[in-house]
Amino acid sequence: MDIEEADMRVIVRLLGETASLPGGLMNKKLFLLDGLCNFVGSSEWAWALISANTTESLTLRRRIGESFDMPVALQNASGPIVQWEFLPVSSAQAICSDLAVNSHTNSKILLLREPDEPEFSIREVHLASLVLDEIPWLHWREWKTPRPSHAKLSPRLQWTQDLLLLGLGRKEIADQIGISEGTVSGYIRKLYQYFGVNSQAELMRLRTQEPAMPKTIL
Amino acid sequence: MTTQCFAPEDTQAVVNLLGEVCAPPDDHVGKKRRLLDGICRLIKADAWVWGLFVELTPGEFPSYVLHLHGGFDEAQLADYFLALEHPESARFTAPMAQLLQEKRCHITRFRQQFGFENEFLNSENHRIWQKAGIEPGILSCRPVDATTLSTVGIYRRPNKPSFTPRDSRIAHILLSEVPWLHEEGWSADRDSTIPSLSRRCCTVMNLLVHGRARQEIASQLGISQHTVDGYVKEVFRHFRVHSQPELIARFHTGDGGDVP
Repeated sequence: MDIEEADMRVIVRLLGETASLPGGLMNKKLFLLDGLCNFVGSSEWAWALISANTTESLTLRRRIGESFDMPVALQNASGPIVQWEFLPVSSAQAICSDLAVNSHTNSKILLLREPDEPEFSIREVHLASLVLDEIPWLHWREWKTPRPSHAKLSPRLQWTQDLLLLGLGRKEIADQIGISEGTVSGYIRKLYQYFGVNSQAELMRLRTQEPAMPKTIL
Repeated sequence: MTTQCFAPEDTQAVVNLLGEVCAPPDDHVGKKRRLLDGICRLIKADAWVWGLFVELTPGEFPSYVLHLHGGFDEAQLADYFLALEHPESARFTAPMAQLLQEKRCHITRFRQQFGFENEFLNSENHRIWQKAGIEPGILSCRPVDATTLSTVGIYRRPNKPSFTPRDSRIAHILLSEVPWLHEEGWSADRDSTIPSLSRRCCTVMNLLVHGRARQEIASQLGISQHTVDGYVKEVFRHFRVHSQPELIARFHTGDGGDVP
């Protein structure tokens, strides 16, 4: 299917803005998915890493317009595939992109609409799929450049760090992972020690240079 | 107005490319390079430049400072400057200058769209371009203030097929919708005093900015080192600097990764 110039311009501008954004992969992922949702009229997106090893599974949902530090954790974060059955969506209301991240992990990104809203048009599905399918890093957790400082982190520490870098609080991290706040505190202490920082802000600055989240969306 | 469309393989390639540009490292110069190298890949081009044209006036010598380039070797770059310095080049940049004066917006054209093809192919200027190992292809100019144009040139080797409207459309959408390409990388005054340099001084200045030694400049321009010394003195006086590193620092772009 050909794409009209006006639509192409919006996509190029959105990706161009994403490229100039300071910060790490998560920063860019959020900005790009938010922008894409606005472009195709979706109210919410969800991202899931589904691993054969259940402890590595990660899900993130974000409702457009809600402040960033309030992503809604899925009801049950302990099982991998099962989580998707908790998503209250019919297939007609979701644009889905699937990608095998590696031999044992799959990534899914969904753009969602409420059941009472009109269905996505063919054009909207096409435009969203173009970006979701052709930008591999949207499905990644971090850039695929070797980062020695990262190599030794356990999956749980890595997950905690990802969420810290997104700016989530202790309780939200505990909810997201499905563990106690006390356990999270332990992870955070280890991470601060590992990176030689004293606060989450410092950790974020260290990894992203500019901790501020983007506010402009198309 | 007819609606232009992009073919599926082109949209995928464009999105892929921008996805790559999003990845680290995040330095401005590196991103610019990746984007321009990528555009060349998409439209099968061999070389590119990015720089500023200052006071591009129809029929007059184009004053410019080149900040970044890709796909040139040292000798080719000097020959490229010589092609721009040639008196006839004013004639071939005139239609673009005219168009920019009228529209004052981002314009992208390929050479064959200007209708001087026969005249160009038979010109002395064309022979100098051929010696430089490239031919004028796509020119994309964006006004950044009243006198300055952020300019991208995209080239193919001689005797290759002409660029097509599809090539030009892909270049234009990427160059015009990615504003950061045109928002930094130059000196504070946007090099506004360059037009008062003579043509030859402009060439020498560009070679100095790209780190060339006087000896090399002399041999590449085919003039004596003594003559080069004279031009260098004039360039230094013009920019009120006392050494080549000082001059390069004055034109410092981005993180300096482009300046040898």
